[in-house]
Formats: sequence, C-alpha cells, structure tokens
Amino acid sequence: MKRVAMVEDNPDNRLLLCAMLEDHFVLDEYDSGLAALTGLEATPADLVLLDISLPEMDGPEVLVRLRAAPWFGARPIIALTAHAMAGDRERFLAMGFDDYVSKPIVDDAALIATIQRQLGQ
Amino acid sequence: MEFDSEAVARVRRLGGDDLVRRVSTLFIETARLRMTDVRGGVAADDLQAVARAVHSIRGSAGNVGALAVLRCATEIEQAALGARAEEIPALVARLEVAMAAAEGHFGTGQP
Repeated sequence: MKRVAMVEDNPDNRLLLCAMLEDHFVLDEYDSGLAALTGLEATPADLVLLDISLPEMDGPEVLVRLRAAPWFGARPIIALTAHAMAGDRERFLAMGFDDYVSKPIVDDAALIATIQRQLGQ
Repeated sequence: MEFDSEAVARVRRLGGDDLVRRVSTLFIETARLRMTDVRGGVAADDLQAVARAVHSIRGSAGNVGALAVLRCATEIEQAALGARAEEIPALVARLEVAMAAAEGHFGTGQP
C-alpha cells in the first residue's frame, strides 16, 4: 500500500480523512507544517495532502520547503482548502501543487481517485 | 435551516454513529478553542488572526453541516480579509449564538 501523509491542524478533519482513506493507504498524520517537515524526512510518504491554512507555517510555505528538500523532490502534493473561491485551482496549481481538493470533502471516492491518479495507480 | 442532515448522513456512511459522535465532539471542542482566538484577535485588532481562526471554524462546521456557524464564520472571514473591522463585533456576536445552538444540537454543550 502506498503511503499518504496528511498535514492538517484540525483534528476533526484528520479524523474524517482517516475514515475515508485508511482502507486504501498507509496514513501518517501531522498537525503542523513543522511536524510534517521533520516527520516526512524520517518517514517519506508517496504523496502529501497539505492544508493551505496552517498556523505558524502555512501550506504554501511547507510546499516550497518540501520542493526544495532533496529527500522529497517532485512527489505529488495535493492542496486541501476551505477557501473555495473562484480561481483557487489555478492559483494553487501555479504555486506548485499537483492538485486541489476543497473542504468539506463531500465525495470520498473522488478524493481516493484523485490520490490514485497522482500516484499513477 | 440551521443544520444540514445530509452532512451528518455522509459522516455516518463513513463510520457509523461512533464517527458522527467523535467528529461532532471534535468540532465543538476545536471551535471553542478557535472562538478564543477570534475574541483575542478582535480585542487586539488583529484581523489576520480573526480570519485564520474563523477559517478553521468554517472548515469544521462544513464537515458536520452546522450551517449557521458556517455562514457567520464565512461572513467574518470576508469582513476580516476585506479590512472591514467595524462589521466584525456584531458578526462575532451572531457566531457566538450559532455556536451555542450547535453545542446544544450536537449534545455537547457545557452546563
């Protein structure tokens, strides 16, 4: 099973993501950008689900740091956001995210399909 | 309509009543903490802190279909991002009422 890391500060969002994904992927949970950067270096994931709005170090900054890390490289990073405003998708893709999923996540099958597509499965 | 039963039904399909209970309890607990950040941000005139806190509340409220909370939080976020500080105290008062209703609805209100 492929390994997916989620970086999300809200515990209820993490719980829901786990319920949606635990049968399909090995999951690592991080509640902050800093925890993710440390954890992902020690335990590399095949894909990262990255919340945009994180305290202290926000999602776009975590993205930049992951992309700059030789141990991470070009692995897929999917933005998670409750912004859901016009032009969000284009903005996040332009930042360097591979895909974008808006919260609340209403379609778990679509989320799984998006992750699998990014993993080339 | 204050609460969207389809949102709860979606959570129930994923993990039964147990998951509904855990997610709604986490929503209330987390939103209570974020409300403290909202009040602190308003007191300090820190609109970014207010926007960040209500953004988080908004995301969690959507998970469990707490529509009134979601609406108030969205309006506060837009006011904070639009630097319309004068609108925020009245909206926060509405959010407090909506949160109290959500706590009652999900059965986790404090006595």
